[in-house]
Amino acid sequence: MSEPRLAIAGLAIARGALALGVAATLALSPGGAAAQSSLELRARADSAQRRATLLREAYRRVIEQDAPIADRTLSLDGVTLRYRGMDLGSADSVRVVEGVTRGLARLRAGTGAALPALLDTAAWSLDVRRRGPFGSSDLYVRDGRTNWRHTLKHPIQATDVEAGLLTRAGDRLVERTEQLRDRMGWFALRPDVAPWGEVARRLATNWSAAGRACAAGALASCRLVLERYRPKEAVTRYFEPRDYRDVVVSGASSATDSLFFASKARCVAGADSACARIVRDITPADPFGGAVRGTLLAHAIELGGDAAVARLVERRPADADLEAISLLADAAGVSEDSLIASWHRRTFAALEPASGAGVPLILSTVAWSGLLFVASRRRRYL
Amino acid sequence: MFGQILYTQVKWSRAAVAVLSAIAFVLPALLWRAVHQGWMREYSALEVMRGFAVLGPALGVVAFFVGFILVAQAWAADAATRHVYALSLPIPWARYVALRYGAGALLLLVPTIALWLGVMLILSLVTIPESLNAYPGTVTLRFLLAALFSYSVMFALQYLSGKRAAYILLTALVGVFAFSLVLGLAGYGEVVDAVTGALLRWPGPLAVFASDWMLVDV
Repeated sequence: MSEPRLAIAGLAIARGALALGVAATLALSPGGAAAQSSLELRARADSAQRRATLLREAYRRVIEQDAPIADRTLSLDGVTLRYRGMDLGSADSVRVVEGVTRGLARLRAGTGAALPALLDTAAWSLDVRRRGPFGSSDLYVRDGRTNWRHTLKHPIQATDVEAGLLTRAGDRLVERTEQLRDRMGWFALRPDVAPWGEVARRLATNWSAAGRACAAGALASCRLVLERYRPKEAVTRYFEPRDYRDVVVSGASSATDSLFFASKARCVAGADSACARIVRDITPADPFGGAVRGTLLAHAIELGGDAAVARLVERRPADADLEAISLLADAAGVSEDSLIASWHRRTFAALEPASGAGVPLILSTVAWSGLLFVASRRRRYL
Repeated sequence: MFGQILYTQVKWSRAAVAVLSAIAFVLPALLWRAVHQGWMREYSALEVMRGFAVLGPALGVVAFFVGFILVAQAWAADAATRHVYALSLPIPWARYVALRYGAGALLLLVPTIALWLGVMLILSLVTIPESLNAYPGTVTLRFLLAALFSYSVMFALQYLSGKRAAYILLTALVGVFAFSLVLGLAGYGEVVDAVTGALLRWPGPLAVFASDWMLVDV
């Protein structure tokens, strides 16, 4: 039996014994509860309750914090990675090792000398748990702070482990830096994830005028989109009067007076003046989200390579005063305007027709239809 | 000879083609109306996208049925007379099949034109925001291609397997479903994903159904 399981069993036995002891004391003492003052009984019950709570806490710690005790440890390139896989066979173990090796190699290639700083905890751990008899698994990647959990539809593959490491490293990158915490980082180090087209579509159909203007090519609006979201100034920064109805419908308000709700009803019904009157009482939801802002981080890393990651990981006192865009432009080694302009080109280039659209699709469909037509003439089977 | 075959094709399938053409014509306006209950006011980009979101998948289904009906009606009419008409023609079977295929394929244009008219009608009623573009030609072309592919699959199935076509189709559908279910439960879901991807991604045969069918997009 492994160490955590022994500890868990021991705590469970101790907890049971304590409960029995309390019950026996209460039940078997001469005269039972009648022989004790109610105050004394209450004090004993409270004491038992406190000890039970302490035991429950200790039990929870064993389960939640001490559980990922390593079964195996890998040290590659100066990085230690512990992993364990409950119910995994040797073939799964081989895949985990392969995934870890590939993931660390990719991280090393993408982050260069910044890797040890990025993985700045003593060790990461992987935990693979098979969920059922048909091969699906949960992959947990822990780095001492938070967990990243990914449910797999199939037995663990090396690519899953690799993706898990890269995802968690991207998250760590934004968690480390105050200015970047409002954006998603999980895809920043994963070239296999391409959120660009989705981001472009979200901006072009955005309910804020700033988002739509950015899609139309106004780089000043793109700057607003990519900066930190400021909810208190949102109505004036991101929206135009014709957006106010959407703001009123979807935003949150602390107003509870009937006048507000009457105006809101008129606004929803189409009265623009009512919308303008109450829109300042509304806190709109973030119209862009962390994914949109996260693409600027991914783009800065694309431009600057591993030097950009090293620059983001490095902490300088002067960085504390920089806005996110300045920090990312500095990391990418370009000016802010240049970074925003190239981000715009990169994002909206994703909307250009991919292979398989237009003429190639026509040709392939006609070719498949032609093949079927030729096949259908081959025999007569009535 | 092609004129005669086309005449019989029109005669046998005109009712079904008329119904499907009417559906293709009204579908864009009908689906918009179901989402927005009107078309006179100015809509935001997101509302416009939402109004046409279901149109693509719905047109894919209609395209499939157009192909299916054109094959099934012609075959059923021929089979009712035990193919006497086809076999009495002074041409080889392969040529007859080619003419029959061509006649049916030509009729695919009727619902396609109806769809184009319906699409132009709804686009004239709805104001498209400046950040969006309308793609009536692309959607209509996709519809034609999807109907052509669906027609070709059904035609090949029918003319290769004769009266057993329905059984073969049913068996194939059940077989594919059972196969993917078993593979998925056995932990080989990625195999199913890979096969599905190969069929749906260009240059796979079903790529036209999986391609972008948005009437209005960025």
